[in-house]
Amino acid sequence: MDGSGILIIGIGNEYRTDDAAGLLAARKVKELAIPGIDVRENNGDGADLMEHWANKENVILIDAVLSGSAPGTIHRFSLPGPELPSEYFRFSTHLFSVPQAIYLSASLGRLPKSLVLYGIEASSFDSGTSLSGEVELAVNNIVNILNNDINKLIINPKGVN
Amino acid sequence: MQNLSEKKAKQMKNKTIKVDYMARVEGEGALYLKIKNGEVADAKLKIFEPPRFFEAFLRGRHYYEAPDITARICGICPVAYQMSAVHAMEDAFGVKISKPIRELRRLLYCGEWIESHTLHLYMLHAPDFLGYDDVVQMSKDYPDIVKKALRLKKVGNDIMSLIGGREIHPINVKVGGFYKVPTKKDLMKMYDEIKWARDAAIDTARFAASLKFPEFLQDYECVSLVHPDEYPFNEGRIMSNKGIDIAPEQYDFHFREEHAEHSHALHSRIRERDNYLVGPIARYNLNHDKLTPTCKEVAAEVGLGTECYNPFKSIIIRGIETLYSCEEALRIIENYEMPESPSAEVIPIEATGYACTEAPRGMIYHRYRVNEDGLIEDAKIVPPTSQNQKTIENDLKNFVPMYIDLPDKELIWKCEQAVRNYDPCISCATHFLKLNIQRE
Repeated sequence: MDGSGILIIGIGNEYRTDDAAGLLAARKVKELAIPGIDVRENNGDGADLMEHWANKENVILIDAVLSGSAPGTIHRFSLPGPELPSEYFRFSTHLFSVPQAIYLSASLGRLPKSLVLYGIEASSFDSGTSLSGEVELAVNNIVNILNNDINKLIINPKGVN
Repeated sequence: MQNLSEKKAKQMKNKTIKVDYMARVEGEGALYLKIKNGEVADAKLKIFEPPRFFEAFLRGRHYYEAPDITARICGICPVAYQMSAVHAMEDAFGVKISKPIRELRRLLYCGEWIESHTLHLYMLHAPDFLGYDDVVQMSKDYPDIVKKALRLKKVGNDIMSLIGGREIHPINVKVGGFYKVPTKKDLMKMYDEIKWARDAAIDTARFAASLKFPEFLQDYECVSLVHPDEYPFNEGRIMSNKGIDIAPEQYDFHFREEHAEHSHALHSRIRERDNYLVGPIARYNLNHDKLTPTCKEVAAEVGLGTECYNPFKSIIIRGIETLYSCEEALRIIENYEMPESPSAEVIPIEATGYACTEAPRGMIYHRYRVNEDGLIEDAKIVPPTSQNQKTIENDLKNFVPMYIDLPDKELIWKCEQAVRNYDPCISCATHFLKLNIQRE
């Protein structure tokens, strides 16, 4: 199994409780040691994200979101696709949020061929290093979902939309 | 009964306008404007982000932890914070560093200035001048300019990564020098891209100068570091265009911080006068003669002159300073000789150390008192945005009357643009800026 060309980026702040969900999920995927899969971490800076996915074909992002759904709910957005609900990602203190990085890349024709964004519904963004129970469960679930995506991408590198 | 036009006129003179979230600034704060009888009765930059207590965190910590702790104050200008801490500790302990270490520190500053200025100039401020909500909208009409901006910003980030170990909150900086220093070969790998960046920075200054600026001149007291031989990054005397000429250790005698009820960031004032200005305009006005010949040529070509008192033109100076940073980076790389040791020996003593350095958005002051065990007993950090707060408020008081009859939406746009002249980093000062205009 070779996942060359697949980039997975976990996004978040590990000192803000559930905001670390994306980072922890990415670390679990990294532990699977799937050949060729490039797993990286990002603190939410959109400009940095754009550099990460430059010239990449298949990119999967994992971030914590707040939409009002039940904590631990896993949202999936596939791009190109419908407009992202920017309000889900409003907890970035960075000047470029994740949706802005995606929109700017799209405007400049620099989006990866396939970009999937998983949002894990958070219950808290307070200071701390432990996840809430629901989000911890979601992090474990998303690793299985990602594994499926990776297998599909390996079979069909044109994307998992 | 008032007719419709009289009512409308009265509303224009006395009105409340609220904007909940002002984008494209770093941090959380609000702007309050009270307009009474067609005049600005009050202007307050309200910083409501909770205090972050960095000075308190530092107490009881070892002197060598200060660079890594203070770097966390800001994700955009961490170098200026950590280097100010480093310089202050070295001042306290009498540490002398080698020339190559000093040069590498200046190179690290070059990276931060290129990255920070490019981000603000193109991504945050240019959309104001060109009439776009943000850079995403702007990129649809100016894709090549935005692509160039991203590449230019990356050059700055790459310099920070190479020298600092990573681009955000660098980890390679220590009191006395660095943990690890690059070889000349390492630096030369960036040389051609920095040469590209130098040309891109010339285009950047020209692009900035092509924007339309309001005629708005202010009588600022400009405060900046001044060094006899170089455009200031990390060393020099504190000088102003109204007579201040002091060493950093005299800062507290000439400047004071005071609490303003509406802000969690302390307001700075010159003790014997009032508010003052730090940042690109202040630096440029006091250090134009220290710029490189190319910087002076480009500044003259775009009609900047040797001094500038229009805060809106700070965007041009950011372009010139980006050019300076590229040229300085090239000079440093060309002349670099790897130091024998990555750092000087540091022996802590009971002492107080002082330092000022120039963050992209203005001068920073650090003061530390350290005991004989090398533990920090007291710390004082004055960031640029808190120094500029009162000047931002004054600008608004003077600027808004020029546009007081504009519809609210357009007036708010102008006010936001005026605040962004300062590239305010509200997180540093104590994150969103809410704009609230009240007309009575």
